[in-house]
Amino acid sequence: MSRSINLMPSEYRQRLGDSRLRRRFAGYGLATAVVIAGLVIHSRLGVGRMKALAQSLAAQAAQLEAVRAEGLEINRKADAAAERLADYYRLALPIEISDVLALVSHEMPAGLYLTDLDLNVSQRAEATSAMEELRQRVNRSKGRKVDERNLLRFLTVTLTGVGQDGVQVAQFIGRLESHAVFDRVILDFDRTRTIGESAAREFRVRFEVDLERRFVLGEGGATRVGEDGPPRQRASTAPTSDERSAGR
Amino acid sequence: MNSMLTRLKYGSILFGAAILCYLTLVRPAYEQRGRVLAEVRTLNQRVDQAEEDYALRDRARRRLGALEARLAAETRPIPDSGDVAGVISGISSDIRELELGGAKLNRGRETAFGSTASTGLLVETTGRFDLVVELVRRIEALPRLVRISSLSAQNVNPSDGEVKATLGLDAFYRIAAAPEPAAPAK
Repeated sequence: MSRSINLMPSEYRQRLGDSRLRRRFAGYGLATAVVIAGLVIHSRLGVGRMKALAQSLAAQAAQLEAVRAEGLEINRKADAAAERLADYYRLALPIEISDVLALVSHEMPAGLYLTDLDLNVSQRAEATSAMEELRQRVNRSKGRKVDERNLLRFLTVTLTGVGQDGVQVAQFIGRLESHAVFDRVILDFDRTRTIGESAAREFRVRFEVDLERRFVLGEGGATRVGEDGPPRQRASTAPTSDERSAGR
Repeated sequence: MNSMLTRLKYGSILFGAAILCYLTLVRPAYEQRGRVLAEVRTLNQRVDQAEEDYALRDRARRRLGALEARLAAETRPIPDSGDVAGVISGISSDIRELELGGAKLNRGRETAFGSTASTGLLVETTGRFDLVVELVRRIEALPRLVRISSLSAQNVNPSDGEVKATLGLDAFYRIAAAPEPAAPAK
């Protein structure tokens, strides 16, 4: 059986204990300082490199902003040009009258000739139903004001002429009906008429050209290419055959 | 008991110093790092859209080029003045040149369409139909916008193919915008 004997004075023992405690806490403080310094160093690691990268990226982004601004400016100019073109075509016709005459002439069978022709640019409100169209016709006939919100322009063409026989007239009407440029082809009359000593077929036909469309004219005819955007893009006109036109 | 108080005192000092260091050194440093990282990330995303920006500019350039080409090729100028006398003189000269007869040119009414106005003209003439068509072509080729709004041709002499033609024209010109009405004096 052993028993520890401590002869150290209690005051000295107390001071020794305090000193040990201070050393221990100094150690803790040092460790904490090391951890904090480590965290600060970690947080700043690569920040300089990232700042340089950010500067370079910012320069690129500024250049891109300039490109974007230039694109938007060009787009604005293009919008203005499109508006000028649309304004122009609100006044001008998408297809020239001479082109319409050339197309009609091109579709006329040999031997058929015209005695009268009449072309008129007019406009009417866009009808959404047959009933509305009828109502507009009634309004027009009674001289009432038509709703001008959706006015569409069209060219009305009336042709009076003489053919050798009914087949020739029918052939002409068929060609007009199948042509992409001409709409609403209506035969007003087709009757036998004696010219000199021979019988011939006199006829009158009406049709329309939608002037809200865009046309591409080329050799041998024209095609309608839709209604988006300002109309018309001319190439060359169809070949004319004036000798087959009116007065011949 | 005394030793316990001393430990508590040292612990509090150490803890306080650690918190102070965290708040003054560590947290601001991480916040700055986060800011720089976020900025780099945002700029990277912006730079990734470079292709889109260049494509937008190229599309706009192509669109403008096409529209300017159409304006140059398809449109005729609309002058700032009516100069109907000039148009009448030009058409009369064409009629003489084509040897069309019985020419009558009448001035019609003026119509305004926003910033543009038109003067109506009625041209009556007689001659061979092909010459009338040539006159129509020449009017359409005038160096200003003149729209042929109507054309009628009647065969008056079937033996020599003479027709009487009437053309309704609109000569367009720009009108100056009306000045703003003066504000009433207060």
